[in-house]
Parts: sequence; C-alpha cells; structure tokens
Amino acid sequence: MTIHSYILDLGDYLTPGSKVFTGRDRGKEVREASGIDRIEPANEKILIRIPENVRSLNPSFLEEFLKNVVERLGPAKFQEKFSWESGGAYNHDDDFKRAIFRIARLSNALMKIN
Amino acid sequence: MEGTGIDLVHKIFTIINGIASISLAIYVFVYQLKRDRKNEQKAQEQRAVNNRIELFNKLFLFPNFEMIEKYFKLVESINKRLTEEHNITDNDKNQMITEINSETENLRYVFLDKLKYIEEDFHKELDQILTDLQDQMAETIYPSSEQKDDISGVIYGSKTKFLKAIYSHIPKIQQ
Repeated sequence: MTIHSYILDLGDYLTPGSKVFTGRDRGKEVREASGIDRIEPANEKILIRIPENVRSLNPSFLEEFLKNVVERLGPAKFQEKFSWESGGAYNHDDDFKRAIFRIARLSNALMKIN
Repeated sequence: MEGTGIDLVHKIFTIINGIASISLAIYVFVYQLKRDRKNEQKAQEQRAVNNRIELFNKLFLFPNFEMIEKYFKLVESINKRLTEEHNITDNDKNQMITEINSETENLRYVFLDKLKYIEEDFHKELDQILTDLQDQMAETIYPSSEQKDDISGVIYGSKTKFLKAIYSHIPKIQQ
C-alpha cells in the first residue's frame, strides 16, 4: 500500500528578512496559498517544514493557518497525520501544541451560556 | 318650589362631586399601583444586573487581575531589556519568546478563553489586543531589519486598552 505523503514548506511563504510568522491575516493567506485544506484529505502524512531561520510561529498565524484541518481532524488525529521539522535549533513543538489545543478549545465553545 | 330646585341642583352637584372624588381616588390608586409595580420591576432588573456584575467580578476579574498585571509587567520587563541591553544573545531572545508565548497562552487559558463561552464579542476584543501585542513583541525581539524600535508606547497602549475594555464592558453586562 502506498502512503501518500506531502511536504509543505513554510519557507515558500516567509516574508524575506523575517524570522517570525505572525498575524491572522498572514495565517489565512498561507492557508489559502498552500492549499493545506485540500492537501490534507488527499494525503496520509503531511510534513510541515519550517525554515531554520524562523524563531517563532505565533499563535495568531498558526491558529489561522491550521484552523480548518484541526477542527476537521481533532487534536489527536491531527498529530498522527501531521509532523513538523525545523532545520534550526529552535523547537516549535510548543508553538504547534498550543495552537492545536487552542483551536480545539475554542471550536468547542459552541455551548454558549446565556 | 325654588328651594327644592336649589336642593336638587345641590344634590346633583354633590353626587357629581362624589363620583369625581371616587374616580380620582381610583385613578390615583391604580396609577400608584402601576408605578409601584414598574419601579419594583426596574429595581428587580437592576438587582439582576448588579448580581451578574458581582458574579462576573468574582468569577473572572478578581481571581485573574493579578495575572493580568503580571503579564503586562513581564512584557514591559522584556522590552526594557531589549532597549537597554546591548549584548542580548540568540539564546536570550529564544527564552524571551518562549516566556511571552507561554504566559500569553496561560492568560488565555485561565482567563480570556472562558469569556468566549459567555461574551463572544468581549472575548474577541480582548483577544485581539493580546494577539497584536504578542505579535509586536515577536517582531521586536526578532526584527526583520537592523532598526530597533522602542515599543514602550505600544505596550502601555495595549495595557490601557485591555483595562479600559474590561471596565467599559462591565456596565454592558445585561441579562
């Protein structure tokens, strides 16, 4: 059985000279430009590659970028399917985990108390 | 005969006067009753609003106020280091980013995100202030150019906006 896998390189979307990914608008732009929402159902494994000079993936960016796939898969399945790696020394595990759990936390906020 | 006529007029006048007095008394009584009920209803509504404000303060504001203060102090202290120290290493910067991201997440988890369940627009307003500040800090710690920006004013403005949003929101808490 062939495992379809895909490498999504965030370096393709990094503003020249920048060392951080920030902003909801930028997150949305990269979500749309990278086609992550389309790529996810068509592949069994997806690797997100982070350029080595990137120091922070801020929640504003990551939450908007991953919003739809995390909401669709849930945190556990998302982490089974997606992995991430950085060529640099900075570990982005916390950035991803915070974003994944916050998306899940806020999307469950449907039962508003009125 | 004349006397009887005056008597009759007097009696009719007395009856009309009596009816008018009773009508006025009934009118005053009903009006007062309505007014009392309206006032009581208003007082009940005000008590309900006060209870909600008190509950909001007890549940959300008072237990987290120290954390909000601590958060802005941390941001201020990191900015102070960035503007005053000249030999900040990459490792120091990583530590700063980690600390800010971790404390922002903590504030969101413990305080802010609970508001989404109760007051969605209010949550959005406060979250935007934190998001903008967090992004601004990341871009100041790792600027894309050599130019160093002093963002003390931005931090002060964010803190003021955050607190002002909380205080101005309290009277809007309605049933």
